Amino acid sequence: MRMLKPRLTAILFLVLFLALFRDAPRTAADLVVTWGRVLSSGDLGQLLAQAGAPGAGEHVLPPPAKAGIALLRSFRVAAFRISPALGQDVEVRQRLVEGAYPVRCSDSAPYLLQLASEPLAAQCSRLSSTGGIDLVHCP
Amino acid sequence: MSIALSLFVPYLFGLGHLVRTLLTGGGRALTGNRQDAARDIAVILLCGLMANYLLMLVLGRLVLVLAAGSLLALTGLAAFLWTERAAVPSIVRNSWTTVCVVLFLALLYSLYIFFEPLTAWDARSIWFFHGKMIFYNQGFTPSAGWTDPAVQFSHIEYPKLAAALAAQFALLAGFWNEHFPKAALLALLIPGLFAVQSFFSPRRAGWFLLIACLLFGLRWWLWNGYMDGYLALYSALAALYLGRWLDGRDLQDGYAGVACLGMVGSLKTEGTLFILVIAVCVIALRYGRRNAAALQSSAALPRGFWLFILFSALGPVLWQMIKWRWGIANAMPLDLARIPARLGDGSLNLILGTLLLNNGVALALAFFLAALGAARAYRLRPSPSVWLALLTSLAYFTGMTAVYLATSNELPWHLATSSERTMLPVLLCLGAAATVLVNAIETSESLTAEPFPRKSPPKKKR
Repeated sequence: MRMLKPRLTAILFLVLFLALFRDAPRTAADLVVTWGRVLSSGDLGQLLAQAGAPGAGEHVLPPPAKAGIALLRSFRVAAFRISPALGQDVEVRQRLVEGAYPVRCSDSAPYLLQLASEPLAAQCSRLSSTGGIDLVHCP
Repeated sequence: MSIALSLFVPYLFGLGHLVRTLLTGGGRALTGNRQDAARDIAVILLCGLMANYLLMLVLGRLVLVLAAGSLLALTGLAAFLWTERAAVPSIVRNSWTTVCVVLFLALLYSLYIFFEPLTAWDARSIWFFHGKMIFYNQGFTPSAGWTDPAVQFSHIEYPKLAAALAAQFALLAGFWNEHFPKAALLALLIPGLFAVQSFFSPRRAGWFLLIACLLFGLRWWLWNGYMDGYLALYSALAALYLGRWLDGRDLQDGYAGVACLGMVGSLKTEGTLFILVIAVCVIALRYGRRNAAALQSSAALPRGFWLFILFSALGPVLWQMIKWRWGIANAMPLDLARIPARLGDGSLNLILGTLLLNNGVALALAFFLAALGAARAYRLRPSPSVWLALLTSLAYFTGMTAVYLATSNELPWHLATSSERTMLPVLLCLGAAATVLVNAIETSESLTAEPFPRKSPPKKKR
């Protein structure tokens, strides 16, 4: 049997790889195309400014987490806890804990984040409310 | 910010060069051919990353680490410029194209690394959360609350190399946000970009295949903030370097392989499994073959090599000791007693079906077998480097299958949320093995002789 030239065989394997594992060429193309778009749109300066701004990028947090973190910051809370109903959503709970840090999440904290629809417990007072989330103080 | 970005490579290079020189007694650096120079730069940068991590684990305080690290890095840079001053023109001549390719690829990836905020689940909940904890506590200290019940979802037991880097970048910027600490990913990527080029065969399809497989094949895993992509990248590089060392050419490949394994162990817990697996495979291939005379016997290896292994293992070992001292427990204990039951209840079929079919392992294996068949057709005999990558891949696959069989989590959930990532080292090692074969076909030399042909034979150690 006549063999293909070795170099041609190697090129065929490269083509086969790119055909079988399409994510590889797609990723390369995506990187190049996105860079091209950024450069042609003139957004590079804006993106650089955004990447260099303190606290930038928090818009990716789910709305309840964003609202809760905003409440904790506006009242300069040092530690908080999350109501069971709010914490049922694992994503919201984790984003609150890591997003709010260095504000600590602790079961013994007097400040509580809860859903606005939850009833207020006895001896607790609602400090503020935003985006369907309440910040409650329970001394 | 711009200072941090422009200085981190010289910082890592100086630190790494100092460590490498102290451990191995110097030896050549960047003075070989282009591929050797790329490998040396990669090893030096990896040594810098590991030394920086060790400083973090030992000294704790971010400012102290940066001060001590900078001093050591300056010493290393001065030593490099002093000892290699005569070779600088040849180093520049040898390495400028490599550096240009690295810059191009790093720039390509920096788009998503910097401009896409942290959105991926584990990136936020684990890796960069740990970085944030280190940053806000000015160091790696127990006061960060590592044992607080509220943060135990975060796999606190995971290694802290990437988190420490993220905290250092944030410290230099002076603030935390969801973009800039991702510069840690660039610091992890650049040594890998140099390492990939140390297998460069100019104008060959094999090199493009390696880039496509090891870099672009990892898709978003190199920029989304997960460590799985980097674990896979350095796992495959370790297999390639140790394989080339097994082929019997150059002890420097052994150093490079060990450095990559040091990274694997410092990046993620699964790295320990990979290190165990590849160590067994290296020993099996070294001593299980009759024609293994090319490789030095372990007794003939220089003392510096053993010191280098010790240095590479120090990060993971120190982290284990800190975990034990601080009372940090594993969040996902394995329950071996579950294995017999799962072997009989269809769980094994579910695991194998998911890993082989959904995650592409069967396809990668088929691609490898096609390359093996083609190599056979050209009367090429697979070298130990091919077998090492293949055996390591299969053994790691078996190990991960056992982990899924023993998981105390609900199996379908565990598979759905992790198997795509945990199979990356398997896929990349299979890809690496196939690339070695394709490259050998292209060069039409005996695989046993040299899977990655060099321009010139390696120079002897000075």
